[in-house]
Amino acid sequence: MLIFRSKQFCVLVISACLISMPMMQSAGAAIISTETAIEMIERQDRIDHINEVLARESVRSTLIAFGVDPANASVRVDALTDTELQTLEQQLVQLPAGGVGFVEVVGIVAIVLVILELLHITNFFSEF
Amino acid sequence: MLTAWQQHGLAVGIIVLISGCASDIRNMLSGLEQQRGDIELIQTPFYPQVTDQCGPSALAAILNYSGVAVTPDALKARIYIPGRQGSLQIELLAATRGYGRMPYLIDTNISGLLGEVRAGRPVLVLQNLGSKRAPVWHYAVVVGYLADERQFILRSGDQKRHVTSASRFARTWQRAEYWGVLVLEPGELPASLDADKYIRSVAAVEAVGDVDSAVVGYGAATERWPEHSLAWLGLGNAYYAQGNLDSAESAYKTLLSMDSDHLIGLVNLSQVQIDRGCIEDAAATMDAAMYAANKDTPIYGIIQEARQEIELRSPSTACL
Repeated sequence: MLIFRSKQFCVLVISACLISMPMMQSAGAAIISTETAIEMIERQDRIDHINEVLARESVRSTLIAFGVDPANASVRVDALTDTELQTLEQQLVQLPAGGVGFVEVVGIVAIVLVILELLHITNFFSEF
Repeated sequence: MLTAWQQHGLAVGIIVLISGCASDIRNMLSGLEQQRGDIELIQTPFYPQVTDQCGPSALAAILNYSGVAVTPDALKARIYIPGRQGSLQIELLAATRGYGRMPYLIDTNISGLLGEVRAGRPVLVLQNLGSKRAPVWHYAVVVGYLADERQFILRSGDQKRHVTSASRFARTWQRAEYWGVLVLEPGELPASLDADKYIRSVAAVEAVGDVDSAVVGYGAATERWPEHSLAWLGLGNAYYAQGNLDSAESAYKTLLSMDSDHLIGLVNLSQVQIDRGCIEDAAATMDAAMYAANKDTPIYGIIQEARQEIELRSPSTACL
């Protein structure tokens, strides 16, 4: 199928589109007649495909390692765009994970106040 | 015990640290001068946050507001990561798409944020309640603003109506790079009309396979930005993915009526014509693509091969 997706503008992606043709339509296989071109494009497509599979598996296993239910992990990985998948593969451990609640914040503030007090930087508690 | 000198040094250090981002905050707060009138989206649901669950609580609130019946508990399975004790921004976006809504990242400033709230959409924001070095990440939902008091109103943690000063909110939001997201129904446009951003958001919906929503989204984009070629290309591609060849062809042709040399538009139109059995039309379209393409670029070779392939087909008597 020789349809270029809206976000796919680079030649590599165009190549990937072309190579998907033999699977979609028998006639498509003939579009690329130069042996060299076929090999180059197929190779690039294989690399892209393998990278994507590896990225999905990598993100999935990281999620599971972080305690996500394996069945949920598969659904969650499938819901990601390729760009999101790549970002998560590289940075799942470092990206901000919003989770804290106000109880925790109050607790952290209280600890900081106590430390400042103990270091005699503040004089907050002895005022009372 | 610290000496007076040490205390003095510490105080100076803290002031330097604070002023490091003060000008940024000042710029941002200056945007509040133009904000007149109070707004509060009191209908925004509230789910008191269970430990670590601000992501599911906040996302459930904005999804509910947009008409999606989902509970924080159901979202927990989609976005919570026990080992990180929280939820990632990317997964909030992915989960939103999973519920048939389009996540849209707001413009990263106060007027972008309040523009959406005033347009009637609560905005889910990421805040860093700690410091840059020791971040404490938190999701909350901005539901309103009090202009005279310069206060934001949030659904946050266990507080249904958390009122906080603009400067305090701005600091915590700035430390999270002003990240905020709202959810749109398919075809609904945000208050901030950024064509490229909107179309990219639709493309992400298309990429995860929701072509029906993508058709509606691109359709809205072509109505709002009728001269935006990418919107027409996306509309054609989404129709094609639906199997709607007539509409796909018409979208590509509109695109080409504005930009007759649009290579991707030409190649895709040619494919639709092949699918419909209009081989002569497909050949003419591909000729136009060959004529328009730069001979030194790899795409030229691809187009040339495709053109030769069309030549090998027997011209059909009638198009489908």
